[in-house]
Amino acid sequence: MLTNLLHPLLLLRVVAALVVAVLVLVGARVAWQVLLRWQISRASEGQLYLERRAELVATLVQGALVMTIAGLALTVLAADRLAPSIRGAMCAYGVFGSTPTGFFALGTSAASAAACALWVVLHRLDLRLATPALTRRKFLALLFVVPLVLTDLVAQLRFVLDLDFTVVASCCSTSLDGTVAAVERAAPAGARDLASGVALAAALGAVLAALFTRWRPIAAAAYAAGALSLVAAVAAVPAVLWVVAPYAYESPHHLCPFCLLRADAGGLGWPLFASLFTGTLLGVALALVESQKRASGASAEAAAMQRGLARWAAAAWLLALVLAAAPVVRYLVLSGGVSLFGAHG
Amino acid sequence: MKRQLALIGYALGALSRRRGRSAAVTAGLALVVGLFGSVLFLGDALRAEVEAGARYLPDLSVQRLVAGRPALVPTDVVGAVRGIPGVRSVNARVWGYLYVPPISANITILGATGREATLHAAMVAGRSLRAGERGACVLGAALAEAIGVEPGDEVSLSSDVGGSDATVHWLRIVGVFHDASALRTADVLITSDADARNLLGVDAGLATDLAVSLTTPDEARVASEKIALLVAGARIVDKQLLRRTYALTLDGRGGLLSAMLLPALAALLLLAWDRLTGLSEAERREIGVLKAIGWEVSEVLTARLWESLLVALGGATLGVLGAYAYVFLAQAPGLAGALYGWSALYPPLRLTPQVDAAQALALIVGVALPFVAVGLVPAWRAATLDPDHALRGGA
Amino acid sequence: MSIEKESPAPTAAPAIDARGLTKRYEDGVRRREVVSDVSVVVPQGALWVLRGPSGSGKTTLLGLLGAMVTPTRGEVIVCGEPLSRLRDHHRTRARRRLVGFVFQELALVPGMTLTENVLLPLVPEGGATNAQRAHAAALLERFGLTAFADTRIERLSGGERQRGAVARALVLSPPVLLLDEPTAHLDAARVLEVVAMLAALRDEGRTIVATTHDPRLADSASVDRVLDLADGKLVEN
Repeated sequence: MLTNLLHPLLLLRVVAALVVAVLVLVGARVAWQVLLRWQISRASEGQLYLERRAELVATLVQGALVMTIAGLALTVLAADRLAPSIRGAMCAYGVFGSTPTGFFALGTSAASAAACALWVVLHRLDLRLATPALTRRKFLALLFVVPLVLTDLVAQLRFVLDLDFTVVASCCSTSLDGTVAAVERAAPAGARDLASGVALAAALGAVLAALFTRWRPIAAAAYAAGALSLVAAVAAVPAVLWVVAPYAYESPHHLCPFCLLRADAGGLGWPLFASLFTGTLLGVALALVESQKRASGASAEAAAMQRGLARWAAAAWLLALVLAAAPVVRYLVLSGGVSLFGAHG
Repeated sequence: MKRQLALIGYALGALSRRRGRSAAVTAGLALVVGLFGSVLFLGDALRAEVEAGARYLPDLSVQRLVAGRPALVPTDVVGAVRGIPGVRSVNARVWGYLYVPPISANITILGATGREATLHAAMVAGRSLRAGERGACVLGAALAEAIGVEPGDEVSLSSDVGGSDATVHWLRIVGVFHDASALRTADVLITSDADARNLLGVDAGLATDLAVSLTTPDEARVASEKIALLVAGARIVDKQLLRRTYALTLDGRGGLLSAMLLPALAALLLLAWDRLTGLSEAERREIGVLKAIGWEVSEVLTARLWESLLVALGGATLGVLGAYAYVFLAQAPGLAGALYGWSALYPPLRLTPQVDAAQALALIVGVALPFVAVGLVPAWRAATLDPDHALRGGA
Repeated sequence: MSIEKESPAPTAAPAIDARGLTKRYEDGVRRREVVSDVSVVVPQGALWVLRGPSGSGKTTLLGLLGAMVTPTRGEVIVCGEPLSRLRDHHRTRARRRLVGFVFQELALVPGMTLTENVLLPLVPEGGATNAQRAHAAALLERFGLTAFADTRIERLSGGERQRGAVARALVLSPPVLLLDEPTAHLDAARVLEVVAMLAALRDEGRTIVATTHDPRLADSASVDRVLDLADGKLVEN
């Protein structure tokens, strides 16, 4: 319903997606012009003109990056705050689940933030180089960001318009509405242990690989950091769902990761998800820079950049691990070492 | 980091060199942020008030309708309702409104059910009722003030039965509630079940409604269905539903107000665009100087964006403080009516300050970031000026 | 590459090696060639003067030599650094280190104090270090400006501003100093001071190129060489 746009948070979310789309589209248009006219070897006024247009593109995309991050936070926040207004939704999970596009919109939000961030990494790498060896690639890459942010805009619009705020029957009498219980399936112990084990191992591996990259930026370490970050990010979803959330709520059947965003869980979800997202992005960024090392023709510059990124990647993953472990450790200390899930938990 | 700090220092200097304009733009931004912020703050404060109120509501209240009008509920169904799986407790409540001529107002009479102990902590003076205590009452602070009584005094209330059966009841005041939330306790008088029945003319065997508490609120739907089968003409109020209705109404009204404010935002952004695009001669020269002495395009650009961002943050902070003062110190004159029309029934409402990350983020994304975004292209234009052109143009 | 170096060590490379510099301005249908095919090699530690009537392209050529103006054709190599071949931001950074520029209109920022102006080139590098502050203070003292360190630019006299502009051009200790019409509007005594100052800076090993149409500067004995410019072309002398 169009009136859904009257909700301030939803309106802002759509506006943010719109601003991102406009910024990236304008940037892509300029990038396209640059691609058509770029000549690497000549240092002429035309070249200068193009370099300055390139600076414009980068400025616009960096602006878009800030907006996508804000937009991602807004998506989650809006869903969290709207829970009381949606039939059967106890937290953001229910809100996302209440429309077919909900989780998709969350995914596109994260994807466009990630795409803009990785593009900025590529841009920063390009700026470090003495020759514009990566400039063409950089602008070509931007053309792939465009469909992503457009998809996000459409997804946000669909999500916002699909939300059903209608209250059946008059305001005060019951509508006998269906209650969608959040996620009430308890995880099988095996899957739970596997997911948390993989997430823990991969995250630790990502930290080590990042630290190794910082020490010696070799290809294997950088690619390992990227791959382990991705694995850890994927495994983190069930691990948070099945382990961190139940421990945070001290109830083996409370499996909702979105409830971690709420004040009664100390808002743990915000820093936890932020550090997971940042760690994943920086890990992938290490691999991205590695993949461009040869093309850049200046591996020393690329390595210097990797050293900088690696430090933050390791820090983000460490923070994520500490935050994820905090509720588990707290529970185990309070319970004297007894697992929340019984003897074999 | 050090570089950014140095650029921020430069940006601050640049803003103070053009302080008239900086102040004007900051003020404009503060105004818009203040308007949006007021709507958000007020909406959230009211929502919090509703949430706080809902905490005291039963999970389900069972009322009865006869011919579409509220009727009393026979208490003989209590046992059957209590037997429904998932129902933790059932209280047959007696409550209603009583007109008190000396203060020309209706007050809410509530028969004690033994669950008022929660109010004990909120006692301003005196104590709460003892179980089954006759001829005594506790009342809300606003009501106590209106009648001009304090614990130890007695109030006389004329029963609502009418005609020759009307009798005068004397109730001794044993306690006064705190009115932290005026919504809940302001006009309430709690007395024993028997006294309430006498005052309101509710016969034994009947109740105003049934307050049902559930073991898990999620089972409200199932329990409602079963209760509806037991009580003829039942009208069942679900607490969750009530909360949702309030939230939706407040959201909708707040959204409408926000939408009406959008032109103000658009005007501000247009103004900002205009100001930022049209570089003054002095600015053009200054940027020429920076370029000439070896500032890179990105450095000039960053410095310009810091200027925008500092103005945006300054304006947003001022706007938020202004909105806070307007809503919570001044109680939102003018705006309040638009958001809570229905509360005219209630005595004046002291809003409890509610500010959280969502509001801050919303204001930053909604107003401050677009303001900076509008400055991106003009900043780039300025930063790519040729140093010799900029300098000669100003010579 | 030695872009990041504090101050390039003197090498055999000339301070400025300009090859076939041409600058053409186009606006609409009009096209004007301000500098035509100028090649010049300035050795290190020299004080040269570019002389020519106004409109002869002196200022543009100076801008080209200092990589401030992008050539339409040709290239310029400063202290071995092929500035015109670098990407825009790399060139700017290299220029900041290698070339100090003093503009005819001085290009100081009004509203800032003299010290703030002198330290302005250091802002993008994270602000002045203590050593750099001391260096700036020493420059102000050298040019007799210590008393005006905290004075706003608009309160300074023309001569004070000019020396302030030179101090700013030297704050990053560049090996090359370029000045546009440094003696314009100065009386005879001041002109002698400026010439003495330039000679002293040259004697410290800096390479200095100044444009002028003022014979008091061009004919000074301290000047190592005078290049004559007419209609954007070098005139043999």
